[in-house]
Amino acid sequence: MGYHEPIFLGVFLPVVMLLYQLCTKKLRPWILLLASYVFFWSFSRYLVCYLIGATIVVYVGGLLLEKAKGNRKKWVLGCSTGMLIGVLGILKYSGFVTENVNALAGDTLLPPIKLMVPIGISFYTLQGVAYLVDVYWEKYKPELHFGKIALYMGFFPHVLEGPICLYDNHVKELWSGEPINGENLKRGIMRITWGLLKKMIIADRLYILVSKVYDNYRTYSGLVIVVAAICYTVQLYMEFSGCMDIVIGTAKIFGVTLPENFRLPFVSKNAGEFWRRWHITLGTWFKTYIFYPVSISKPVKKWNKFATKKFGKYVAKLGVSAATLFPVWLCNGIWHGAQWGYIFYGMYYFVILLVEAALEPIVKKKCVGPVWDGIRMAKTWVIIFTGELFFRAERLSVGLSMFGSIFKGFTLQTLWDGSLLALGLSIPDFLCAFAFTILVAVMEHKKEAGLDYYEKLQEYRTPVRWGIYYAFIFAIIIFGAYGTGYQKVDLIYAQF
Amino acid sequence: MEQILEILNEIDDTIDYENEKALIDDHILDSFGVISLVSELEDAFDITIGAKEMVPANFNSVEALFAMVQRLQEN
Amino acid sequence: MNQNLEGNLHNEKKRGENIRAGKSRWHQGFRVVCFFLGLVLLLHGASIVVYAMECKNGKNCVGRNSKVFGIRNEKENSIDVLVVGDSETYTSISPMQLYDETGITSYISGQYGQKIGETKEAIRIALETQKPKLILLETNVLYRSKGSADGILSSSLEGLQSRFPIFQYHNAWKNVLTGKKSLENLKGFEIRKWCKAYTGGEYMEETSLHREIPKSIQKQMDEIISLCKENNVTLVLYSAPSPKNYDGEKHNGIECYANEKNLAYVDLNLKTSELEIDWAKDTADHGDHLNLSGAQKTTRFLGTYLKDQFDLEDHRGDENLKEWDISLEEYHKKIA
Repeated sequence: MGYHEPIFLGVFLPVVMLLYQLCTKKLRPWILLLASYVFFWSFSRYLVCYLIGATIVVYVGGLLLEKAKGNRKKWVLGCSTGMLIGVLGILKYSGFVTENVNALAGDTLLPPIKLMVPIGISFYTLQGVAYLVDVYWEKYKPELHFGKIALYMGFFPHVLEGPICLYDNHVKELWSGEPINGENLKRGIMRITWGLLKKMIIADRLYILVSKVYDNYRTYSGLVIVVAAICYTVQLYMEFSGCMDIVIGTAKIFGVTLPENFRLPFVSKNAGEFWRRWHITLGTWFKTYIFYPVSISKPVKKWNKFATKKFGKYVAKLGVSAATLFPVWLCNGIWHGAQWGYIFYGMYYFVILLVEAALEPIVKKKCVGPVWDGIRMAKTWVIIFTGELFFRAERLSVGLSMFGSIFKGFTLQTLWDGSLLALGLSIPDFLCAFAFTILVAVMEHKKEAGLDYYEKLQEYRTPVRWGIYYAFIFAIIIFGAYGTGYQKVDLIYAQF
Repeated sequence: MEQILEILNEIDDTIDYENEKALIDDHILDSFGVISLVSELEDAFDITIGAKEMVPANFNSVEALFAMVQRLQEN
Repeated sequence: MNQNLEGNLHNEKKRGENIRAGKSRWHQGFRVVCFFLGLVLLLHGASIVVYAMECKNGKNCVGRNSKVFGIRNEKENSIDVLVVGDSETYTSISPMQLYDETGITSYISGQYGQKIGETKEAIRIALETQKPKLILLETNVLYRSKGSADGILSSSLEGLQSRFPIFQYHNAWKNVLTGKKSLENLKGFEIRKWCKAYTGGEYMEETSLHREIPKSIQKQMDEIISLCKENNVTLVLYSAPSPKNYDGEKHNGIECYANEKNLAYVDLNLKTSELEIDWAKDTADHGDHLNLSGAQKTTRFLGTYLKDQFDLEDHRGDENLKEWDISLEEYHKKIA
């Protein structure tokens, strides 16, 4: 029951809304909790126990943290987060570890393992850890109400693929039980429609080309690979951010404002900025709970002082960057999945961010003005596309071989000699994807610039407003890449 | 207050600190700037800035920094 | 300060609006009903337009539905054998070869990923202009469904689709954009000359288990069976050779069903040695579909089978069907 599927939008969500509205204020949050477990059950059946188990660990851990003093406090934090991360580690990575140990030993030392992994575990684990650490840091008091923790951990709009929420920003709205009001409902539905448009018209269409090239990567080379990498990047953005639109819209209906996960990532001038605009909540999590703690840890501080005196600011900064970025990007890579490809992906960004830090003084002085901005943006695109090329590849070796084959038989002719039309998409398909990508870019720029489409629409008279609503609905119906003849495309980020 | 401004200017003197109210939120001060700032502040005021203080709210403006330093000095 | 004031004013205004909105709840409800009525009307209108574009003029049909509607371009009552089903159909039977070897006239109303509801629709459309003696139904459609809850949903979605054809034929805009005409007339067959071997070995292991055909599909099959009865058509089930789509459990499930409904059933997956299928050469995509050489072997076998089991006319040399001989020449050039 993915967020984009008719059974979710057409059956599950309306039923939950109806029950929610009919119940008393006190009962409403419990309806959301129940709905969340039903939603989780629809994917992972009895594995919902893992979610409930993690919730109990988080709840009890928080209470114990309040009572413990001194070293015991550290111990409680270590144990509770250790349990959360341990379960995640065992479920997701034991197969990977045994596989590699066996490969190293050249023998089956350990029996191969394949464990069932509940959905969303990577996301709710991070939320649980965030809560425990915040309580440890005394940012807020631990929660006494079990239901609130349970809903924070499992709220169905964000349990599957984020955004990763922070408890203190989130809980008040989550447990308010306010009735659904007209404005939130309309805002929510508008946001959901927008997300559907991005996913169904653009992402699901490009999926055809991308999967064709990646499934038969040996048969393609040169520009075709480049086109596939670009298409995949666009697909991933439309798919993931589109899903976030649906998710944020869904939560909005119940009066819950979830954090934004994307902020025009493709206008970034460097890779660092890209990661502040792409999958923002994950970046924020890593920054708060890994990057800063490491960067103000004693060894790093000592190095900073020592190196500043001895080698000057520049070298000191590079050293600090290396020491702090490495754990962040290693974790980022591993978090995405137990595969060398993802670890490579993390290290790829680690190296690029380090190079960026090294070049920063020059760039800041010399590369200013709109022309340079354009060049830097284009450079960032190349970095992004290359990264996603590896990200999509099934194995690291596949990614490397595809990257290598870009330079074999690279001719610009590929663009017009018809080879692009042999990838499953016709000219109308390309035109359609392109036109809607432009539309998305323009509309999201305006939104980022402060235009509130909901308010804007209220200014129009009913016939115009309805006309616009109808236009969007029909755009999805007519241009959506759905129905038989198109494959049903599952959510990409739900696998992480 | 003056001392904090001095430290800030040492890190990056192209920024108008007195009027900026979103140093972190608007990414005016990057993460490495923050790290240097932390160690400078610790030395200058003889305080320890723990991981829990590492939130944008504490670093967004000179006033916020000042408030944080004062609070930590009291403890 | 100023902002605060504005905010307050804004809130005041909102409150005013809310009070008004409260008074006119009925009015609000009425507007919602109107909105959806408008939507339904528009859907209906768009459906009429799209349907007209896609089907009334079969010649302009390209893409997924081209074969289903393309039968309207065939001479009336010229087709004796109609083949329906998903992509397994037009990769396993070549009507031109069948005509060449046995004189049986056939046509493939196949669509990729055809669903059982669409199969029924394809038969209905064919029956508008043709009186086939036999319908060959490729059995892969009998399992295209997931679970019962999903089955209910997908059949209700199909209901929605047949109510508003816009959902089904929404891709018509592509034809408008390209203005393409139908390809050469192979009566639905698609030539795939390339080969990607299947290396998985034996796949039809004998088993006592049988996978039951989902209830929602059985219900639709009942309608197809009665549709055939009304029109005096013999319905025959067949399974094209495909390691990816068939196994022993499915075979047992279909056989059980065929016995129950008293239908003839040929599973070519059990006859691959008789057909001389070589999985290293005869599949286009690692055992999902046959390629041309695989289809030629299957067609030869089915031709003999149909001749032996059913009373079908030999149309070779038929003065009324001269186009078939012209198409046949084209076909020979194509496959050479």
